[in-house]
Amino acid sequence: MMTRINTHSGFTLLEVMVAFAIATVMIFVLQVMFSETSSAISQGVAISRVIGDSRAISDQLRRDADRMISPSGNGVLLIINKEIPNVPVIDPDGKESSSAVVETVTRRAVRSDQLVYIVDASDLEPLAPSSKNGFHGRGAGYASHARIWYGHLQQLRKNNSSVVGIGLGEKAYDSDGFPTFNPNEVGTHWVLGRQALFFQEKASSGLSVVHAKFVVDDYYLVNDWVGQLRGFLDVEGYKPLWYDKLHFGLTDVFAKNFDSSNMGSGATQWAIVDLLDEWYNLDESYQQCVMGLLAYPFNHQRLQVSLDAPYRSEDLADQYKDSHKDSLDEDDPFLSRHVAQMHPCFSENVSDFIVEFAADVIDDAPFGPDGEPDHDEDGNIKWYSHFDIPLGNPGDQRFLSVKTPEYYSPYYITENDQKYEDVIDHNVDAAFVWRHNDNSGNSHWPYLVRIRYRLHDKRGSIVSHLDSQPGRWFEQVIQIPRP
Amino acid sequence: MTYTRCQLYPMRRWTKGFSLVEVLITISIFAIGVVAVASIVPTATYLQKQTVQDVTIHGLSHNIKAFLKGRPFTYRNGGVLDLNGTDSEATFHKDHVGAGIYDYSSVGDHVADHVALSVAVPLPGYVYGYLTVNDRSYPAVAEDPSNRDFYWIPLVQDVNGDPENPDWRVYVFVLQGGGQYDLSTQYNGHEIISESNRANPASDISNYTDDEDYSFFPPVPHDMFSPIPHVVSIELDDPEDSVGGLRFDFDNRHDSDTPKDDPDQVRIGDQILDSNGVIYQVTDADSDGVIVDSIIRDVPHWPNRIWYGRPASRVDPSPTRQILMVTDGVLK
Repeated sequence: MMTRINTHSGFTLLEVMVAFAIATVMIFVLQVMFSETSSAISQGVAISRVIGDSRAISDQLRRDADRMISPSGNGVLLIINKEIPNVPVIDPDGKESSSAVVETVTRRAVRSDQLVYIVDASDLEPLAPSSKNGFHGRGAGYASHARIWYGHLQQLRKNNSSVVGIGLGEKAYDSDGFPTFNPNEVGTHWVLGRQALFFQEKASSGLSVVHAKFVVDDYYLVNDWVGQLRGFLDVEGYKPLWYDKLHFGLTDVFAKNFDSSNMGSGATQWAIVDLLDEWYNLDESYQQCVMGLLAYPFNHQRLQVSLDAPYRSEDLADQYKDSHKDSLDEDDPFLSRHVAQMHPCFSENVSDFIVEFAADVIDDAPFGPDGEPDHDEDGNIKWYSHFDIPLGNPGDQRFLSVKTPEYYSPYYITENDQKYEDVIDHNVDAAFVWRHNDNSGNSHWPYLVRIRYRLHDKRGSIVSHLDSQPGRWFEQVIQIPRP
Repeated sequence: MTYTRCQLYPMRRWTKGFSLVEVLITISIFAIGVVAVASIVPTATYLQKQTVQDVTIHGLSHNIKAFLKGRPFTYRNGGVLDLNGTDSEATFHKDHVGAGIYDYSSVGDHVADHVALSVAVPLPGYVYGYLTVNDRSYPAVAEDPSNRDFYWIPLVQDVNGDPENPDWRVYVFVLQGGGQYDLSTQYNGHEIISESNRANPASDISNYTDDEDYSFFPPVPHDMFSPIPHVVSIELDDPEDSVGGLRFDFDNRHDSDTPKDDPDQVRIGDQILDSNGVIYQVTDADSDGVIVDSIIRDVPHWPNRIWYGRPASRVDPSPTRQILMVTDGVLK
């Protein structure tokens, strides 16, 4: 009888157990390693983006500061402080859902300051499109000066409707009653804006009018826009007022005429710097005009922009045209206002934007006026803001408040001061204005301005090692040109 | 009849499984590979951290220039005004000439009363009232200056040495914090650090020591530490021998625990400043000096000392991240 002997034995139980144990350890180690590697890489990518953004911000701040006009050159400087309490910020451990509703947030106060000044615009160009269907601006002609503005923007929803102010946390609902994403709700998503508003000379000032044609209707000539903003007349059937054009970022050219002999309410020929001097004589609408040109302190209302940018590339433009083909004209694929609204978008994911200044404010001996910024008892530079408002000698003018019937009196605005009720209603904690004619050797203009901002990655995963809060801090000190 | 396995399956090669030893060896080789690959991550993280710091320092350097130019020292009547904006009795030029700190008699005919400031020197103490450590550190978001990431220390030079027509230049050491810096002034039984060769103001020490007796130098004994990094200078041996060459000779080993031929003060890659205001990068170092990246010159004088960021300890790297030179508008 033939007998088969199977000499091929299987693994023993011990071998299998050892193999499983080794495999388990290997899997665990590999999992930990890849997990940490993945985390390190994503963190690295996030930090790289934040650092890249910070460089873009600091470089632009520096370039603009180098162009800043001193009071000797009719410059104007504004610093507006605002702290918005209880703003939700993405927690580092939180996750963002597809509807962008944040599941895990922390709440804290966020600073939303503004910085405004006048620059030499000789080497700058306006960006707003010059026609309804065009996507580039033209030279501003004899725009010798421009107003630079930095501050948080107010993002529009995707459909550009139902604008919600920064920090209000207001919910909006679509036609079916479902809440829609409010892009301004979470501080981590706030967008820092920058806009140069060009002050274009008018023909009567002796210069030829070589200007960008920012109107779509040729009927409106530049001469008709003296003291007004020029921009698009129609926004999808809506004819915006001048401040709408400004607040929607639809224009960045303002035609002005320097004629200081014709000032006051009802005047049509102003220089922006004269308007500041004549502030108290202006009626409210013109006061708003001035502040509208210089800053955006009213009604939580900042530059309103859309980050929905179909024009970022041709592919995206085609996608946008496809998705909007029912609402778009065949010959009018998408509107240049989208371009205009995109221009003020400077840097995304900036929560805090803090502007402080160092100035020679205190006159009491032994501190001054000594031609040096004030310092505390330890000799440290005092950085003034609405937290530490400088109180000069009574009757002494240090700053011109943005909303005061009196020319030289109070320097600041507080929520307890009824005289400034209008401004308080309009979202300002404190506003400091340095005037163009404060150009003596003992000028009150600050020496230094310190800008601090907190940058986030989109997922809010970066945490500051300084305060263990989401985001990374950056600081920039700029020298202010004095007389 | 019995058949062997080979006879039953002549075409199939009989094989056995791997032994445990083989598996372990394989896993070991695999593990070595994995560890090698994994080690890339911390290296990349370290490099990125360095890059982030470089970017931060780039921004900080602009802040420093804004600080210096936006808040210039006031120079008048041969001196720098003090904190209250008045002429100090001990004016800046006279301070250094009168104190006889810099003896340039060997320089010959170039010696003049006002030559002292034509070398890079620390700012006098009363001027430091303008530049507290709170203002000389970054970022200010950290409320306590001792917890900040970077610090900066300025030195000043009147290049032409003429108090009637000063030609000011400021050199700024940008230093990385994060350590505890030894304040000891004595090594190996002899004085190394004295008031004249420490660029930091006394407040950088007194603010971080509990005992007021240590607010003055010298000496500061061992076991005293500060979170503020320091810039110090050391005198060169035979400075005339340095001119035209690439080597500075000096005592580059201060701690007796440092191996005999190794440096523990200035090492390869560090930036240093000589008394003529020239910034060098160190390309080689030993216990008796360093070799630098450019020819040492005697303009305006023979260099008699170098300034450098002092390491926190003999095994720590230099805290110096950059040396800036600011030329215009630093004094008015």
